[in-house]
Amino acid sequence: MKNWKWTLPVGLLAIVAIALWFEPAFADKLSEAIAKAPQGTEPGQIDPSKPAGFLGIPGSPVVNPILAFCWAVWVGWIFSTVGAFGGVMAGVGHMSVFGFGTYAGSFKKTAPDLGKIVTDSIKASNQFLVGLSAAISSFNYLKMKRLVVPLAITLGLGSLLGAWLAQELSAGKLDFKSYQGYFGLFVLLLGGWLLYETTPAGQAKKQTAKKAAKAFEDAAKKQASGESVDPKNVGLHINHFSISKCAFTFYGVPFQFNPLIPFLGGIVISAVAAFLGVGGGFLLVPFLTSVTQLPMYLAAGTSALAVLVSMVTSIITLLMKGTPIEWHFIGLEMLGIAVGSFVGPMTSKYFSDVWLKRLFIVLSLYVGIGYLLAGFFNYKIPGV
Amino acid sequence: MNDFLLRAFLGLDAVLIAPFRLVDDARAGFACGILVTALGAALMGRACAAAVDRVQRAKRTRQEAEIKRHQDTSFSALAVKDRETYLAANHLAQEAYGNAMALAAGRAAALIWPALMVLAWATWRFSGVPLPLVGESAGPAVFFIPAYLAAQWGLGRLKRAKAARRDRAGS
Repeated sequence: MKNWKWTLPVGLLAIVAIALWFEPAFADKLSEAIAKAPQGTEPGQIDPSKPAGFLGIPGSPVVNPILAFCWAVWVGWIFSTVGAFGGVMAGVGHMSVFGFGTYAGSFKKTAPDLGKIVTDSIKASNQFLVGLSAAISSFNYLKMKRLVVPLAITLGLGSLLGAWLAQELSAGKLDFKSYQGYFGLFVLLLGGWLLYETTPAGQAKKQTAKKAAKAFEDAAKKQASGESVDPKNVGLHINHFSISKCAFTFYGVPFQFNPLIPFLGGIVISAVAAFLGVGGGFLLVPFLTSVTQLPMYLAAGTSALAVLVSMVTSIITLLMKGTPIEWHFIGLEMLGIAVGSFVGPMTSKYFSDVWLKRLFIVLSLYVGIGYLLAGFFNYKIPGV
Repeated sequence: MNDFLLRAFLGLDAVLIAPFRLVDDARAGFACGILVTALGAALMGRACAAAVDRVQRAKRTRQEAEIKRHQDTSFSALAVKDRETYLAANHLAQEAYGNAMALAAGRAAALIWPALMVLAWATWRFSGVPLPLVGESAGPAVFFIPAYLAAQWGLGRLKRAKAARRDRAGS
């Protein structure tokens, strides 16, 4: 375990490589689904005379690479400017802007297998786009060795199980309408939560936290040195670890949590992330800091391991299930996100963070309600 | 526009296939091509990530300083056993971390997009072609991903060695 920071990621990536080895063996799954679909020119039918588009299916949406690139620039710009909504916008692009959603939905009755494969591919594209970036960016926190090993193991095991279960139970079984409905519900909840944070009640909690921190900083400055810290208390010390209790001290202050809670939390968060095709890091860190009260200093690194495990598990399970992925499309979108992240900081001074956040809250509520209605009630609202 | 895209793609194809034709022997040529494209993708990714990092620097420094300030406050609060302030500062650090992560995701996208593009190109270019050692049972990703990881690792080591030399020269 001495060189775990190398052996762990290299080992996980080796497993991905092995999964890729088997990928061509599963390529026939898409061909079989296409062969089973009825031929014709109506929606829900395959027209062999049309040019091949998404996933090489004749008559599927042909996305202009410039449109895909521009949308990804928008995703990267939002993500780097507001610090959120990247995953939501990536999903909106795949489902609505590029027309993959309507296309997948059209096969619900005529060729459900093909519809489910296209839905899995959309889901996987979302996850690769958002999750891969998150996993790589959080890797630096992992390298800093700022992690509580027992917690990382329980959270990692939970994440592995959650991601595997979600893909195992949903891959090839989820039709587009259901996926759209659940994605809409997630976006709506996210928008609702962000809206709550802008209300006086939501702001009050933040203001209280800011006041407490400010008062403490001021008092510390006045006292200049304050109380001295016992050197043996500096850093993290695990005092007890069992199946039902993990007790540690951080800077001499005792903390304890039940390891089953992060394990279950890892399962739920990773399962939700894998099922919806979003990154899980943005949920794991608040979970760790609120449930285990772990300091941010350690939460970032500990969650990084779980994100990496969850992402690798999802990739392997999707590939082993034969989900087709348009790598050039993901690569092009990654380039767009990089450009958007380049432009974002240059233009952010011209926009108010608060107003941008409010704008995107409105947008996410609209998109969330739209997808929810379209997915679960077959009711379409304009633009979604 | 379609002509332009086609010409751009053909140009890219000519550049990417060139290292595979440097050596006459097919197996050696394939190995050479994989190594050169993996190194090229790693170099290009690092250059793009460095460019994004440069533009993000001011914002990133501000956000990282905020994280550090809240973390320091939380540690100081812990040192005097003030749990309430610790939790408050920890919460604020967590918010700042979310913003810093969004910027980091942009740098990660800049780092890996060339690899994904090369992977997509190689999968298309060698589709149906029996590859050395694995025949048709595997795609070029099996060779490209390890080569790309090795290239990233090697470049990382080089960068650290260069920084260490610079530090020694400066001190």
